[in-house]
Amino acid sequence: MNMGEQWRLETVTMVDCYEWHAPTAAIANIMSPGYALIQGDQRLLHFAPQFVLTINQGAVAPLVVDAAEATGIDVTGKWHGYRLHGSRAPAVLAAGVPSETVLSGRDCAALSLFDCPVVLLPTPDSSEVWVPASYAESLESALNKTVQRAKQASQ
Amino acid sequence: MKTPRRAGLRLGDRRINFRFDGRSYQGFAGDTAASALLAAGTRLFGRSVKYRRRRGLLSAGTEEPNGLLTVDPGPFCISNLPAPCLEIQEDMQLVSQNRWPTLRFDFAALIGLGGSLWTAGFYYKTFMWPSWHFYEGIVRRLAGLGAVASDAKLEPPWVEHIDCDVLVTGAGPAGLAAALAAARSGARVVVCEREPATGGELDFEDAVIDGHASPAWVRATIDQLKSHSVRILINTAVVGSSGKLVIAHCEPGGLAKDAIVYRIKCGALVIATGSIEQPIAFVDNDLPGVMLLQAAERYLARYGVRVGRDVVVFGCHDRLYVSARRLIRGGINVVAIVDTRPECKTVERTALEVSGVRCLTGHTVVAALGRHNVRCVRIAKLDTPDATQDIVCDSLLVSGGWTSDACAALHLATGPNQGLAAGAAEWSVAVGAANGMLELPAIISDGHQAGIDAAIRVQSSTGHKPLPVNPSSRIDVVGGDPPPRHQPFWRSPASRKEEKRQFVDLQNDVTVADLRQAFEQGFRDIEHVKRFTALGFGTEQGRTSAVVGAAILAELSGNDDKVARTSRRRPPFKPATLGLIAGHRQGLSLRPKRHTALQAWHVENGGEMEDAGLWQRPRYYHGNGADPVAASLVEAARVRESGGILDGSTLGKIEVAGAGAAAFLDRIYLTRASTISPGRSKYMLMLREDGMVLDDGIVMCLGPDHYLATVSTSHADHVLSHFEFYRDLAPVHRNVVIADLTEAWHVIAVAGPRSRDVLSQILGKFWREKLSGLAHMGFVTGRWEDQTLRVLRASFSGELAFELHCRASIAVPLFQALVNEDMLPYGTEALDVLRIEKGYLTSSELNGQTTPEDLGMESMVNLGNPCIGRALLDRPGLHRPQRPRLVGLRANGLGQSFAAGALITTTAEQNLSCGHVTSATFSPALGEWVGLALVARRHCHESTTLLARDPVRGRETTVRTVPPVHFDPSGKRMKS
Repeated sequence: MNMGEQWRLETVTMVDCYEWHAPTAAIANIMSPGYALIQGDQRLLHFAPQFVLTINQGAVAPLVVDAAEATGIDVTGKWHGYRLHGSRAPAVLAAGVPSETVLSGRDCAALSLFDCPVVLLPTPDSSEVWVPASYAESLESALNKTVQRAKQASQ
Repeated sequence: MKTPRRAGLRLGDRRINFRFDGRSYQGFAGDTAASALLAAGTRLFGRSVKYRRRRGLLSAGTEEPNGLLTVDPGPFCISNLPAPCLEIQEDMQLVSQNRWPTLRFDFAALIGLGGSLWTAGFYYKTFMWPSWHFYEGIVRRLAGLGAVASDAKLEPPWVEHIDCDVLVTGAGPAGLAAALAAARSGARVVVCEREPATGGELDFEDAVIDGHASPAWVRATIDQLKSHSVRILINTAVVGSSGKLVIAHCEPGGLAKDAIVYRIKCGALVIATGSIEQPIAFVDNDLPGVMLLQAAERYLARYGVRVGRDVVVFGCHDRLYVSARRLIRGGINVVAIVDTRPECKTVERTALEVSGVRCLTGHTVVAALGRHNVRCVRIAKLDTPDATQDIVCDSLLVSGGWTSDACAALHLATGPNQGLAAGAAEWSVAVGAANGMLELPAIISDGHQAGIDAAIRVQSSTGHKPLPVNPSSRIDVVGGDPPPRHQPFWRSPASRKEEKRQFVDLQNDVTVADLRQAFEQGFRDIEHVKRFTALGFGTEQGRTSAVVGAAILAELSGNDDKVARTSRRRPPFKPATLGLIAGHRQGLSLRPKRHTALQAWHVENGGEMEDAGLWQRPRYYHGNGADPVAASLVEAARVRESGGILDGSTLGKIEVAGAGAAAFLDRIYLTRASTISPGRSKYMLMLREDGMVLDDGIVMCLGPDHYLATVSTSHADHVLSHFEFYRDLAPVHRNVVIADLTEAWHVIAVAGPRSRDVLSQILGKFWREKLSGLAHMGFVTGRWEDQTLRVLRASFSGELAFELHCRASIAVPLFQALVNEDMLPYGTEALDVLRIEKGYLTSSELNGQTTPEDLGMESMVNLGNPCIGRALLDRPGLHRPQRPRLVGLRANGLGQSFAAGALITTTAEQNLSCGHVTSATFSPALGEWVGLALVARRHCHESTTLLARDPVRGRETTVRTVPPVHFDPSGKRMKS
């Protein structure tokens, strides 16, 4: 969907995806919950205490999580990524979740957006939303409906 | 009675045409339905709920109990909109409520003639013979407020989450002062104002604030707030709160169209909602033309509407005289002022007397007189109430004092004369009139200080350093209305008979007589009185009735402090459409739907989708039959004859890995996972802590300490939590990693005699060899189309069957390839037929109340694995003969059917059931109805004749018990 500069919803391509679980809270010494590492298309998201999601992991991510003695499971196909662009994106997000509050002091967070479980990651020029693939269609529909409402509201 | 209009602060020049009860009216832009209709001479706005008495407007705000209107009559109507808050729009259609056929002539008003039958709590005792249900339909038709829309064309509201330091509700003098002070202190401030304009009572209260006249100060303050980036949300009422989350509804023009729901998280809440003027109870105080004094002032100042030509002002404080002076200045003739206090000496009074206004102290209005509207009022001296005199007038403006409007915003209770919001949460503070302040300097000062305090408190708690506050930053106020010197007066003297016409709650027709009756029948707690009499029910929520009602109850009880309090106000603060409350959760968006990668394929190929929790699954395919039953029989028969495929991707899949994974699963499951060799799988049960079966499924051993557990679609989330809970509970399991892979792996079940051949053909040479040697419950992993594919030989149909676990990217091509080989898909209905024929279990049998023994799986218990829930299986109660046991059922006689849910009894005379049918279907393989049932153990012996009784469908069938596996009991087909 493309609405010019105001709104664009883009699917993020993904090669692989791993979920890591650290056996102890000591992982917080390496990266606090909410920490995110962004390198090109690689993502390392410590989205909940002791739970890390790596997307398109290169060499860095495994090193980081290995340091926390975390064990990973290949969950490729589980997560679907969206990138929200445009001036309306913050308002659309704010319609579903108090993103400003939830992300206060964090790089990313696991939360519920339009009743779908997501991991939200703001990036410098957009926001990324990682959602379990089965919810992707519902979330996309809710986001598009919301942007339509935003359009009407601004008219 | 039509009076010429004056200029109003909120009026524009553009004329607006609208209709009310079918008649055309004209108003101006900015007019509300109330002001436009009042200006057009309308006095009758509705009928009361119970007695259908004629009612006019009482107030000029959301608290309006009488003037509730319906917009757009018909299937899309929106009802119960307070006329004072409803801005008129071009061609708007308005209708009155609680009347039939017309507002002027209402047939149900005849009910009022039998009023003595309809006293408080009448429905508890009046309609006892022959039974309440005999009358219920009529009473329900007559009761209630506006009609519910049968459809809605309202878009879901726009929802916005706001995070701020200080939320100020109300942009009157106190609210503006608070917001300004908080903003100057560096706080992030949001202001919600329910009116379309800011300023509140400063619309008509003369004062000089910080050197500006009131309106100029309001404008200057708004400018300052904007310069501090304060968000000012007009038309936005705070309707409720939950913890520190405040919900506010913005309804431009008072309509839910284009509504916005704000969910505001704030560090501090400053409640500056002002106060609500209270009425006084006297005989026929509900007659159209009786209005609150402040409401008349608002209509005059804001909309240029004179509510009457000749008015009498009635009350119990000094403000009567100030208001009267303003009304006179607005062109209203004040005939008399009736003051219940024994004396009053003020400059305003003297001035009014000099100008010819009768000022009567120590008097009260005992009754309003007039057939349809107020024609005159009857007054009497309080010390000689029998000596009455009548004053001719067309309106009576009443003011019994004020009560805080803060409680409604916080759903709190309070007592009469308690200005403070008793019990307000620590994070919130009521200020100004909401805090019982009634003089402008005190109101502004209170708001100002509260704003500073709120900012400091929030910033301290968040660790931010507050900006230095200039102690001399106070706001100077000169003028304003004088102190009211209010002396409480709640009702005029009246005989017992007359008390039936002294209305306390106008919306619900609660009279002084009703309160007396409640009190005499022993009701003391105000919440009980509320439920007995309906005091404070409805949209008004007691804002004009609760304090008067509590005061009268207190008087009846001899001023018992325990009695003197109001009932708890309920959200929403003002009427709200259900759509506003639901937010985005409407229609098809009620809840998210989970789709597999094959969703589009199913829909395109005639799949009738059904909900399975949040998942969407194909129930049947339209090409196989016109209805689910016919289609499922065709699909099931085809699986047995040749084969079929099923999308089983919704099956929960949980991967468990890491050191100790095997020991962990041994703890979770009734049988040991550690005995499964890599490449093998096992059907296993897991128990709840109380020994009941939680779920079943297949556990595959992928390698040492590496497993994949499949769980029921509907139990997947619960089981995952169960796993994680026990992993986190015991440090010994801390190295176990658990991940939900439900979406990562799609599952296609291929069942039927042709399944192996077809798979071999599609998957290629590597797989052909692997599949030919694959034993039941074994699995093999390889690749297909350059993607990982895992094939498990397991069956939920009783046929030779395989589960293909594949990535989403190859799910559709693989499914299509199977279809191309004439392995056609079947839906969940057919799946149910197949599994019932084989006696396999689903949630109908794993219903949270069955043990392994109940399900015939005691052999698993006997293996002695000390898993969770195992110890409690030894409870004697779980082995009694009354416990259920899973049995198969067959109808005694071909063509006889029975349904799931039917109760089982031993004989037709026996009314006590000994079990129930959990699943039933017609078996295409056996040609008769078969089922599964949970039947008390003493009746479950094979070939016992029982009765399946289905009172819902009016059916009784004689059945006999058989072993649960109806089809291929030896499992020959499955293991072939």
